[in-house]
Amino acid sequence: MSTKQSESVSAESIDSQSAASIHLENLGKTFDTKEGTEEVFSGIDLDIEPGTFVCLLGKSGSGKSTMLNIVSNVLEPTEGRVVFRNRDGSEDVNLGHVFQSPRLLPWNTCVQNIEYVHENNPDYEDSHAKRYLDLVGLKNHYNKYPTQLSGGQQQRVGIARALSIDPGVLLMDEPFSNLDEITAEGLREELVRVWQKLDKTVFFVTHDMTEAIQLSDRILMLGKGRIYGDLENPLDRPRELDSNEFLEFRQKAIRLFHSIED
Amino acid sequence: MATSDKTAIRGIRLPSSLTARIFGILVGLAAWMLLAAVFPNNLMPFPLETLGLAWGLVESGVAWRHLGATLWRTLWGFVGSMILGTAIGVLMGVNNYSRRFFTPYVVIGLSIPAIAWAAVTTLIFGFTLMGPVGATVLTTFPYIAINVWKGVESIENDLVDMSKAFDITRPRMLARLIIPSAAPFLFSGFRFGLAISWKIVTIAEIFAASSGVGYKLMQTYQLYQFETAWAWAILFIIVILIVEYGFVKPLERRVFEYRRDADFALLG
Repeated sequence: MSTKQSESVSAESIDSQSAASIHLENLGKTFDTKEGTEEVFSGIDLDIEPGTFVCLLGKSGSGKSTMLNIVSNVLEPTEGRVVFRNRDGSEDVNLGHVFQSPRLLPWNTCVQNIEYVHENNPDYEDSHAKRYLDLVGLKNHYNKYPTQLSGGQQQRVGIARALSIDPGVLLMDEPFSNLDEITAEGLREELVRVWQKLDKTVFFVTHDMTEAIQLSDRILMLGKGRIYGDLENPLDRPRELDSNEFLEFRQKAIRLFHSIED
Repeated sequence: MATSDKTAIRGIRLPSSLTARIFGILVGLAAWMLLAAVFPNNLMPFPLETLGLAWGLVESGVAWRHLGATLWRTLWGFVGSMILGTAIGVLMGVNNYSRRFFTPYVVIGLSIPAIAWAAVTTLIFGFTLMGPVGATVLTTFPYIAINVWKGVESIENDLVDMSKAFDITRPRMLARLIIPSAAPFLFSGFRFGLAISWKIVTIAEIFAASSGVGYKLMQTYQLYQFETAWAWAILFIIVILIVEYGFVKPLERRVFEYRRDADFALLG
């Protein structure tokens, strides 16, 4: 897939709801196992400003997917709560989900896959889906089935689907980890471009430090049941991966990342 | 997905699918002729003779009347078993309670011979439409339920989780995710159900009807007209082929249109 597709994309026709803030209040999660109760994390307090691109980093088993699932309302926390708040103070916030694999209905076209998640939208028209497909560079693929698309294009449909419900918060679970590096790189650039155009808060889970630094405003590190690292990303956009500033910040972040033992 | 007309296995070139099909039919005909030469003519007539007899049944109108009666019963038996089997299969696939509740019925249903149901339904309903239809529904629904159950179970959890994350309601999930996902199994149940329904209606007609192919087969047996039984079998095969190639295959092609294109997903 060509990363040049992004050049032809426009977002002018999209009316977007503004970003929402995320508040984790004394959040904790334990699982009951055969050996007894296992604590994943506890007492987590966190405020994420509207419009922020946040990356949550953690090693395998650190609980980052569990945290995303709680933030996504897929899992119930054992203690505490998650609150989303629009800029006007209301708490009725749409959540957009982008998964590790695209999770598209194979028997539906790109447009139909987007239409599927608009069950409660009586004003939905296919032109709405097409606008979002245009936005992610899939102008000529409206009526194609997922099997006719590359892995990267499928994930673009997944992103278009999530954005199409006009979310105040976009929740992304390692969405590029199954793609080859060249495709992933193109999609990262495109995601930042789309995020800059639409006012959205992004909560992005990854295990890739370079990806986190390239994308985020703020990097959270989860391990040993707590958020042990919370870094503001000082780098200006667009970010050059081989610039001195990038490499220096990456070194600092990696040192912090490895500051707790496994 | 495009398939090559010629297939090669370890350097041996196999004939194209059409040639293989024709070759298969020719081998079958040769075997039939061999058996016809060995056995007495009234037990095993030659293919052309059988076709002639079948044509005679069609020309005299007997075939239409009895095939029509059997088809009518098959249709109702099949529709009834599809509705019952699909409903139970879906319930077993989506809900543990339903699975535990229905499993004994399905297992017992599978083990009861069609002829037993035919006898029971004849005693209950007499020589009415419900006799053969009831026997067909009761014998066929467990096979369809098992197919549908396995189909529903095979649905990717990721797609269910995606639907839940986007707050999709259960009826929409059923229509847009569960049924399309189970479609290959539904088709397999559909074919299987149709094939079984035919056979069971025929068996039930021996007991529970005064018309239909089963009734005529019983009659030919009692009159020692075995060659006519073969003629009825030929008519059966023709009807099955018409249903398969005129209805099931085109429907299948339409439903699985999305699978016909090359899978580019691995290209990145």
